[in-house]
Amino acid sequence: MQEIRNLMAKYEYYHTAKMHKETKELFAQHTPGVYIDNSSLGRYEGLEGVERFFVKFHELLDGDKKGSLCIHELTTEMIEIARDGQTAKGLWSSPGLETRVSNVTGKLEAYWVWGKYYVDFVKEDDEWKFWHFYITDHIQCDYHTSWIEKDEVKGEVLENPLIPKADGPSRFPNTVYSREHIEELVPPVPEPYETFTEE
Amino acid sequence: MGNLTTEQKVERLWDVHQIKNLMGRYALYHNANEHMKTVELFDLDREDCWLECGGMGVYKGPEGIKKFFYDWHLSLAGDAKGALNMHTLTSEIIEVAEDGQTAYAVWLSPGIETRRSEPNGDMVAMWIWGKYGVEFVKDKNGDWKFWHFTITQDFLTDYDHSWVETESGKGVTVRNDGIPANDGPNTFDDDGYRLDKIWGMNPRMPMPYKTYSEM
Repeated sequence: MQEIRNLMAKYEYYHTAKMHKETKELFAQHTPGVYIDNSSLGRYEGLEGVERFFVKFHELLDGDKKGSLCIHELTTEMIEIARDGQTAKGLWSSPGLETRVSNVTGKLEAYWVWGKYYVDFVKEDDEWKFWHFYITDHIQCDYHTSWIEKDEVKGEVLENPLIPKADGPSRFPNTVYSREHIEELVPPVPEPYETFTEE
Repeated sequence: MGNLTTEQKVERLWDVHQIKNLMGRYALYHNANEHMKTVELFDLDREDCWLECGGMGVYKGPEGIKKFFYDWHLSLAGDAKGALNMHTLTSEIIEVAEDGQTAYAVWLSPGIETRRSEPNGDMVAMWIWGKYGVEFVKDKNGDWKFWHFTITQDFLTDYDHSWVETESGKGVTVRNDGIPANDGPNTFDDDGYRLDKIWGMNPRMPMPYKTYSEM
């Protein structure tokens, strides 16, 4: 349990420190079926998809790194380890913040970025690794504009032209808050299970 | 606690894990407007279950729990469009009784909500920070459930005003119609930040204990 918790926290610390290559190494290196699935951006498959999303995309976002910031806290944890001990599921709510160069103003802007992580972990060489890594986006708004008034936001994180092309759509429906959005149990709550089967 | 066997220590770790997941489930159901599922996280076979919310009072028994978590939150959500509760769980302290039958835990909860404001019922983005103090009990099947559930509200402010400004009369007024009648007043004087408030320990600090009756 603590190994899974530590792995997830390593991801957060690497992400804030812009150590994107190290982030990639947290994923399973030879177990088939690795992917990242972002509810807004789509699915990126295999280690090549991980490279495209977590390394190349984030290096582009970072630019010269000056003033660029991502802090994605881990809270509200749920973890279920399969009875066979080979896989696990974890869920975290992540109230976070970012500084990005706005694609509208061209300047560094502060954003609230709240989302959830839903992760399938797999044991590889007796070590827990990320297998399927889901990110659902819930709140995206600039510091001075609440999630309700965000239509007026100067620059949207999710409309960034640097976003790489996905290999397919997300498993999840749109989760980003709007006045019309109805909150649902997305991602699902991890339930006790015997062995991993595709949901 | 020094006399526990290795097996008892493992059992306690398992209990802590189950309690963390139960509380996580609460936060996620609440976020998803699954209010009846939230009610079912309580031990509804026990008439002595209750919920207390700072500034709102005490709601007793399964009916009281339903009134607060289902009836009221359904009324708040309306048609559910734009309704939002995200109450994160941080800074946990969990103590399981030595007899393994009850537990008591606290969390700090920085969160956000979308509420309706006076006078026109417009949607308004709110910061809501509070604490949970929860007594857990094993139900007849041996599963952990909520027994006594305390919510304290540290502050509720609109997106554009601080807790100090809000208490100085700035910011929006939240629409509060539909609050169900409580079954009794608050047992503590703690309805959020005030300019003259001296902060104290509420909910109480979990400490190691042998059995519920001695807590």
